[in-house]
Amino acid sequence: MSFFIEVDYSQYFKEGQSIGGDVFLLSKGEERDRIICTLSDGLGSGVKANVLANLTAHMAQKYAAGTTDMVKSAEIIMNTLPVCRERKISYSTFTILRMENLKSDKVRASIVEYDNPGFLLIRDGACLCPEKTRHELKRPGAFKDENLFHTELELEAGDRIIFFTDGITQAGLGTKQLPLGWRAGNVKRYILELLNNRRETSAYELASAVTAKARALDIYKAKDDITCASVYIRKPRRLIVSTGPPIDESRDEKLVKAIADFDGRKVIAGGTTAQIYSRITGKKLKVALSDCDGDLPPCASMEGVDLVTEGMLTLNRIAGHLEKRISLNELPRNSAGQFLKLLLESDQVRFLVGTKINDAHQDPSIPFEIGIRRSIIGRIVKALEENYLKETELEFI
Amino acid sequence: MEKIIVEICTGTACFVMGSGKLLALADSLPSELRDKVEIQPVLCCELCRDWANSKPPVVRVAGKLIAGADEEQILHAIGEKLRGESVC
Repeated sequence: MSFFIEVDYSQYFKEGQSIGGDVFLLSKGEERDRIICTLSDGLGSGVKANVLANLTAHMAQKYAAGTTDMVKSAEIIMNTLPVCRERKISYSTFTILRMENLKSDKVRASIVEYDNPGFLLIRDGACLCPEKTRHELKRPGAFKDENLFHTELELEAGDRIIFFTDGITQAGLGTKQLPLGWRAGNVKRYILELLNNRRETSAYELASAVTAKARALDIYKAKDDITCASVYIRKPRRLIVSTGPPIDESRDEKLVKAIADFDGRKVIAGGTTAQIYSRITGKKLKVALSDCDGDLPPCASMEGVDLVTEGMLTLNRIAGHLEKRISLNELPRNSAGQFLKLLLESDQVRFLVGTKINDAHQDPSIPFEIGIRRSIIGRIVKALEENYLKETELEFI
Repeated sequence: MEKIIVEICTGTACFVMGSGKLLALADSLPSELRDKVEIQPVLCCELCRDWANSKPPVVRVAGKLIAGADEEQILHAIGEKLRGESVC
């Protein structure tokens, strides 16, 4: 696959609510070449809104994954959703985005929108206005004309799609500075300026910058649920994680060559593995006492490798954090935190796992925390794929 | 006078058997030893294969190996080294 499609979102709930009426869902098709994401905003906030938005988002997600036409699916969802008795408006709005990663260096995207602020398509630092097809719905009991907008796009490397709920466009509403709220035009200008300052901004960084700004405009007390989703099409960032010595010493050179020749960032997790690399390449290993929090062994530095850590304890901790879906802004300040940062900032992770067994780890007096390397790596791979939609490769040596 | 180097293994086996706590020596050394001793963490001494003769945690004080090390043993070895040098 030639491109990596990075999708992420950031969200704040309305001040005082512990559950949100904005729901964002993300999934990958079975063949991993199709990505579907849905952002739904339920009427109001809190539990009722959450149930409605969840209902909508899950329906949308399932329909878009199937073979049904996107517009047809959206119509079915609309007809299923009730209309609020008092306000005569629909209970939830949505944006459904389906992307297909084609082999021919193109990503085909299809977007269906109902009543959310319009999505932004950004290419080469400018916001494009693709043509949208309008589909009018005629539901009995609706208070106003209801329109679905459908857009078909061909995306290129560097393209971004950003969509959000009205918590963003209406942020700051009623304040002296912004009596009418932030408004779509200003959101667009803010995003373009952000990207002009830093072209490589990740999908997550962009989404969280937008939500943070919206929350600030609401004077740090969100008046509505605030959600921004962001898609970034780009060349994949690659990372290799080497852990454990090869089963046979004769393969040491092969291991070192695999790490040295890798095009991307590099992590060695394991003392022995690092020593092998150091011995064969002649690069010096330096351990820093300052990185140690007493809970996990400290990390080390070595020329040509981005991070060197201890093996099993650190990996075990990482598996736990990934399973709990830790995010980039809550990383611990230790070797696991540095390791996680590299993992989360990569799109494709290759694990090179040595299969030699360390006799010392088999002693019954050693705590249980040191599991079997393969099973811990298995947990990490599963969490990276399922919770973060990363692409992984696993090789035993 | 050159500092006495205390190398503390932070490999997996050594760390879980207590070397993590030994690293705190860097902060808890008696004040009279502060200028004379340097605590250095080491990634793995690769002695864990020989479990029988080098029970973790493994520490080297000025090159001398201490297996199953604790704080007391390390301080003792530092003291010995200091006294040894002052005689010469």
